[in-house]
Amino acid sequence: MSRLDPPPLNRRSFLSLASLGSFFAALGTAAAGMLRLPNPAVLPGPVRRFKLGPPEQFSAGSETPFAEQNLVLFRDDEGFYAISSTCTHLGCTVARSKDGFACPCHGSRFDSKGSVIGGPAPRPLPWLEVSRAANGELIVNADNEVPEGTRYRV
Amino acid sequence: MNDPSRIYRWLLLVASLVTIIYLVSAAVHENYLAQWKTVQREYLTILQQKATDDRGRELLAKFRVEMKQASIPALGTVDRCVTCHNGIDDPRMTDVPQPHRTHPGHILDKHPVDRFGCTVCHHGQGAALTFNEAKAEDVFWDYPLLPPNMTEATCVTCHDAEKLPPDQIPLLVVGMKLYQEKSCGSCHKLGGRGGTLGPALDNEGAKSKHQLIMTNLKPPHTTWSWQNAHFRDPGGVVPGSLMRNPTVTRPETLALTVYMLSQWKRDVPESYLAPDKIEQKYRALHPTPLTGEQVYRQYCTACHGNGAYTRWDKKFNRFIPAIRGVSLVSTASRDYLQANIEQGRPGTQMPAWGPHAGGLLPEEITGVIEYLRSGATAAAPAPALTLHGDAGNGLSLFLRNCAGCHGMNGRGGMAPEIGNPVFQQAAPDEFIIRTIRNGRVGTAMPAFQRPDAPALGDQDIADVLAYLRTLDSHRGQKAIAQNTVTAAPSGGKP
Repeated sequence: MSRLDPPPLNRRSFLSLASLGSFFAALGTAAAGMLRLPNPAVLPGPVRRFKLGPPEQFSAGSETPFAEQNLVLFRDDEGFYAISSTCTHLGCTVARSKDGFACPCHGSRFDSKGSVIGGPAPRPLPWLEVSRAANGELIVNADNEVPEGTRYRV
Repeated sequence: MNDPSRIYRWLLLVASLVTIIYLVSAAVHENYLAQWKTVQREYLTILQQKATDDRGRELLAKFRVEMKQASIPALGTVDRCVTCHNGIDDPRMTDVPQPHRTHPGHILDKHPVDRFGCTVCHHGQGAALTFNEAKAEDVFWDYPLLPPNMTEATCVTCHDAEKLPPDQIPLLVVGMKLYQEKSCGSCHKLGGRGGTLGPALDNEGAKSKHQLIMTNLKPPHTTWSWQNAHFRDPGGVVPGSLMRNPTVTRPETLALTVYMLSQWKRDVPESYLAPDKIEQKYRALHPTPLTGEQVYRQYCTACHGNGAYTRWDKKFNRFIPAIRGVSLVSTASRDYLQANIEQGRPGTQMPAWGPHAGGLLPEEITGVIEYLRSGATAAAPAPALTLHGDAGNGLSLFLRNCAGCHGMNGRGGMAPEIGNPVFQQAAPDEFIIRTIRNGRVGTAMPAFQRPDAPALGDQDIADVLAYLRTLDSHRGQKAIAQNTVTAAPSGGKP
C-alpha cells in the first residue's frame, strides 16, 4: 500500500459520507421541486386559437378580416395565410389600405405582406399559424408566429 | 469504542433517504402518473390508430401532452375539462371510450368550446384536473357537475325556452307546463307574478346547497336531489312547510327539478344571448294578459280547487272558501270581488293580487271576476233592511251562532275572518244580510232564515250586522258607540 493511495474506508467513515451525501441529495431534490414552482403549467390568459370556419367558405384570392380576433385571413393560389392586424408599435388595430395596412394611431404603414414601409413600427406584422381542426375548420393560433411566406395548403 | 455521534449519523441517513424517496415518488406521481397525463397518453395512441389520412397525421403531429384550457374572460370561467376530453370536438372520436369521446349532438357546432367553455352549461369545477374534483359534489363548490339529463336547465341562460326545439329540452317543456298546471303560481312568484305564501322562485337555480335544508335528505346532498325529494314530499324535507304534495310522478318530479334549476338570472354578456332571449326580456316588461280562466288555473287552483266547493285545508287549519259557488257569486258584487282579489284578505292565507302585489294586470283581474261569475246569474236585489241593529244584542247573537267558526271578535277560525278590513270595507250590508239569511251552498255556512226553521229574525240579523260593523278596526271604538246609540231607539222585535 503506497502513501498515495487513499486511506482504507472503514465502516464509520462510510456511514458519515453516506448520511451527508443523502442529506445533500434530499436538499437538492427539494430545491429542484421548488425551482419549478414559479413556472406555471398553464397561463391564465384567454384562448387565442380561433376557429374561422371551413376552408370552402373562402375562395382563392380572397381576404377576410376578422375584427374580433384581430387578424386577416388570406387565401391565394398557394394556400391560406393569416396576418395579425395588431400594430407592432403600440398595439392599435391596423386598417386595410390601398397598398397594405395602415395604423391610425401613429401612422405606421405596412405592405400587403405585413412588412414595414413607413412609420414607427419596429417589426413587420406577424404571420400567424394556420391549421385545421379535427372537424375540418380552419384554425388560426394567434400565439404562434410563423415565418413570412408560410402557406397552409388544404 | 462506542461513538456517541453514530446514532445521529444513522438518523441523518435514514431521514434523508426517506425524504428523497418521498420527493421522488411525489415527482413521479405529479409528472408522470397524473390522471390527465395518463389520459392524454391514451388519447395519443388513439390518435395514432386514427392517423390514416393527411388530416389525421397533421392532428397527431400537432398533439402535445400538456395542460389545456378554455379561458373565457367574458363568462369568468377557466375550464380545463378539455385537458382530458381531448376528442370533444373531433368528429372521428364517436367510437372511443370516455373521456376521449366526441360531444354528443350538434351542440358544439354553435357553441364552440373556445367561445363558451364547458361549465357555463354543465357547471362543475372547471379548473379541476381530476374527474372527482371536476364533479365537485363536496361542500366546497357551489355548483357541482349537473347530471347529463339535467344539463338542459342551463340552456335558458341564453335562450328563450319557448323558442328552443322541444326535443332538445324534453324535461324543461314538461316542467314549464306542470308549473302552470299545478298552479304553483298560487303561492310562488315567478317574474313578479304569483302568490306570497311560498318563496319567490326567480333565482331558485342559483341557490347553492348551503341555502337548502339538507338534514332530512339522504346523500348526495346536491341541489337537484333536494329539489327532487322536495317535490315528492315537501313537508318531509322542510319540516313545517305549508306546501302540499304536488301529486306528481317520478318523471314529472325530475321535470320540475330541471325547471327549478333553470330559474337563474345569470348575468352573461349581451353578445352571448340568443336574439329570442333578448325579445323575451322585453316581452316580460309588457306581458300580454291571460284570460280569466287561465289566470284562475295558474294562480287560484292550488288553494281554491275548482271553486265550486269549500274545502278544509289541513295545513292552513281552516276552510278555503268556494269562490265560484253559486250563492257567493250571485250575491257578491263585482266591486266586492275586485277588492278581495286586489287587496287580499288580511289575516288569512289569501294574498293581494293587485298589479303592485301579486302582479296580475287590471284586465286579468276583470277577466278572472268574469270567470268566477260565469257559473251563476246575479240574484235579484233583496229588499233593503230598514231596521236599525243593536250591536250589544248582536254580540250575544254572534257569540251563540257565529263565533264557533268565525272566531271570537270575528278574528277567524275555520271560517273566514269577517273582521278583516278588506271585507269590512268591500262587503255591502246587503251582501252580508243575504249570506246570513241564505247561507252558502257548498260550504259549512248554514242558512239562518230557512222558511222551515228561522233561527234568526230580521231584527236579529240587523243586530248581528250592527255588531259585525263594529269589528272593523279602522272604525274603532267610536263607531261601536255610535252604532249602539243609533240602534237603541228603534229596539224591539219587528
